[in-house]
Amino acid sequence: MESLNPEVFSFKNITKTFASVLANHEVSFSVAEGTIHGVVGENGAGKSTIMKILYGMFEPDSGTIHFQGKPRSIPDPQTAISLGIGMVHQHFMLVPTLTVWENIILGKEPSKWLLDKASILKQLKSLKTKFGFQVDLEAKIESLSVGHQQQVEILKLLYRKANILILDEPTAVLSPQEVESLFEKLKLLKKAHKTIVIITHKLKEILSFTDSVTVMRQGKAIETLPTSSLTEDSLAEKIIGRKRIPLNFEKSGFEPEPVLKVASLSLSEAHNSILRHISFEINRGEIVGIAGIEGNGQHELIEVLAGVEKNYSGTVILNQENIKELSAYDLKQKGFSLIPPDRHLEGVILPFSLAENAILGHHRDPQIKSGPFLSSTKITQLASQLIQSFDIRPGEPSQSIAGLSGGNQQKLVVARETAREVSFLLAAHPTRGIDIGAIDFIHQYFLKLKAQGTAMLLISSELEEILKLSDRILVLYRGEIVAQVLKNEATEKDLGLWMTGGSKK
Amino acid sequence: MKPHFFKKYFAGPLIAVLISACLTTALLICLGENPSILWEAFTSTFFNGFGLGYTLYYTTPLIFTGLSVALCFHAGLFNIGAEGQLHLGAAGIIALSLFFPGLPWYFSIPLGVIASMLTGGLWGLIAGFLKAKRGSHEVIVTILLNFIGITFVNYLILYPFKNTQVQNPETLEIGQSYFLSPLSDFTAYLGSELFRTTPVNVTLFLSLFAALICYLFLFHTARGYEIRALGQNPSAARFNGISASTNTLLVFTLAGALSGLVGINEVMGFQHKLIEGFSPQYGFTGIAVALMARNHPLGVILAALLFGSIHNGAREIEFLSEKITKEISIVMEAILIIIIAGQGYFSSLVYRLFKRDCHD
Repeated sequence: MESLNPEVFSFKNITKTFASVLANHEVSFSVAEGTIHGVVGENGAGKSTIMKILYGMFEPDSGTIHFQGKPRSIPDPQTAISLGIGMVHQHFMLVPTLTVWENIILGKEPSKWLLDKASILKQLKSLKTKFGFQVDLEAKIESLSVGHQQQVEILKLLYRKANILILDEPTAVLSPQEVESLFEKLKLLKKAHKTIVIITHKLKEILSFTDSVTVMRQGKAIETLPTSSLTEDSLAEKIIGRKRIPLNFEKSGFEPEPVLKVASLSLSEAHNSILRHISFEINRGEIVGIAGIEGNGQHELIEVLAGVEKNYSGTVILNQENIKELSAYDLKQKGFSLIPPDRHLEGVILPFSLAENAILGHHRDPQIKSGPFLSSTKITQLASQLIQSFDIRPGEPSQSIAGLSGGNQQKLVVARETAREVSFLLAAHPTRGIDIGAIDFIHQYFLKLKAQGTAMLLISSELEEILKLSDRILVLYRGEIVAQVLKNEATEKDLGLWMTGGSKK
Repeated sequence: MKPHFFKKYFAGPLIAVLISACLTTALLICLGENPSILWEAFTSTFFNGFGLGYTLYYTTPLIFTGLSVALCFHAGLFNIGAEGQLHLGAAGIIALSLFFPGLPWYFSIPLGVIASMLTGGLWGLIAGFLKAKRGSHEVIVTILLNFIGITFVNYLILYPFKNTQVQNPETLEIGQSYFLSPLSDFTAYLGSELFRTTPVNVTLFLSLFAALICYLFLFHTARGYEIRALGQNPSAARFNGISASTNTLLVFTLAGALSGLVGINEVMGFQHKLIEGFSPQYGFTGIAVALMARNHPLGVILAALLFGSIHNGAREIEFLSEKITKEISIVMEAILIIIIAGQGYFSSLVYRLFKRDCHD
């Protein structure tokens, strides 16, 4: 079907190294005109690199790019833009204090001197209606939602007459509804014979929206094939290069016995109420998921539960003990564990070694001391145990943790936080930005903890993850729990609606 | 010693010293001075007993202030206040001796050490308190506390503690039992002339001991771990129950106490009184020492030795030359600091220069 379309560009044996890291190795694939093409792979598989080569941000060490059938060198983004290639980066490149139309024309003003605002607006409006964009051209960027900011980025490309649009992880920050609307627009663009390349690691989006897919693994383009020939499992296997281990849901036959009781928890900062009357309980062996778009009070809820924010009203009872009197360190000694939301910000200390990171939060434990001093032998021993049981690589305890991949760093965090008896585990975005292999490992491990009786609160922006693991799901919107559903009653559509403030059924 | 160990810890500082030496040579030539005096001056700071004695005498306070600054750096804090803290520490010893002049040595000496640490530490604690509890920026606070502290100590020297028998702005002498032996006493006992007539005294050993304690504290205790964790990643520290305010208070108090120990070297070790302007900016040079040592307590010893020898060498240059005064040391130290502070930039320059050789 799609093979009828002529090829618009292709890579031939592209190799690119950074310092000593091989980012792309002999990558060859082609993309047909007027299609939505997915480039999929784990973090570090080289998918962003290859597309940045097309956009002229990197020069390949060897290999050629063929553009409309002819070999073509693209030394810089200016050349790429003149060829009609545009890219929306993962982090938007917009000026927050300028309006939408100002951002769109920025760098490509129709005239150097006076701006004819009326004619610009007219031109932009026709673009808007043609592709179904709803964004207000006169609004300031800072007042827009992330979804609308993304629309501005795409409009920017269309204004520059781009025919090939590269989107790097476009859905990472979007709610399910916004994802839907994004792909509707992309379909309209496709109808107008534009070619769209999406870089992503989300299997579902690839399967439901693309025409063809290139799978990348360890810098190589493994295969390019039509999406219709794939299933979620077969695609995942191609990405990780081996069979996937199915999750093993063990029955946990625990009497409902609350481990954590949150009653009427409220928190305000500078007269803004951040959390409003939040109440819930978590039982032994139960996983409760909190769905919600980031910035709706998740961070503050984590801070309260972790014992670092004390200016709240209401009560939080952990194992029959009010946590208000307990410091963050005390809490950790009483069976509370935290997988913090941001690995680099809160989870690990990057300049520290693996061994030093392995004792964070339990560094006053007499078990790792000899006399008044920390015993480096005992610490190394402890770290080696964690490294072994979680298969962390490279597993040299004295090595700096900065040299590990995100997945391995996260494994160390999970290993550290669950090395002791855990009665309540607060896992915030436990698998953000890590590869499928590590995700599967961590999910499986969570289920094992659950079977042992750990109560768990799972906060994640990935609905898929929440739906997969939770027994019960709470939806947090503007600091309030707006909905509560059991696992088997929950649908992605309803959750998405609640997450964005839609009314309850 | 493994080669990469050398490369990691010593190559950078060594290159910095070489560049600094070249630039100073160029400067001397520009000023119409024979640059060979530079070599002459600096060999004399190490290779004769007299020169070495003075070098070590200057090294001692720089170890204390270097440690003081380095300790704060580990907690992510800038201690610009070592100068004020060391003034307070020295004044503390004078006050103690004026109140208890006749204590036997086994009381006076430990109490002297404690007094200097207490008064210096208190001055540090004020900065720590303002930072931890009020959120004031420690750089501003410590700079301002320097003004207050130094002026206050000068007031003590000029009024309550003044030796009215002399014209000079200096205090009364401390009691005999507070005197610390110069190292020349020991070498003379062994029949050697090493360190003869130089002021280097047993405080040197105290400073080396302090460096060792700091090293053990920072890298081998749970509290030291907390301090380093706080300095490297405050949010991770917070989520793991490491209190920023407790540790800030502690670190500033300890830093003040370390700076205060400078008073031991000056007052109990050599002058036996406090003279206005006794510190040739040991507190500020301590920042450079810590920077050069990359905040490693044992590295501080070596860096302090370097800056001590520059300081001594500059005095020697003044003696040898008619044109150059000892302030040349400030120029040399400044060049060193610029090179060390810009090391990231310089090493990328060097990398680019030799890029082709580095490929394999």
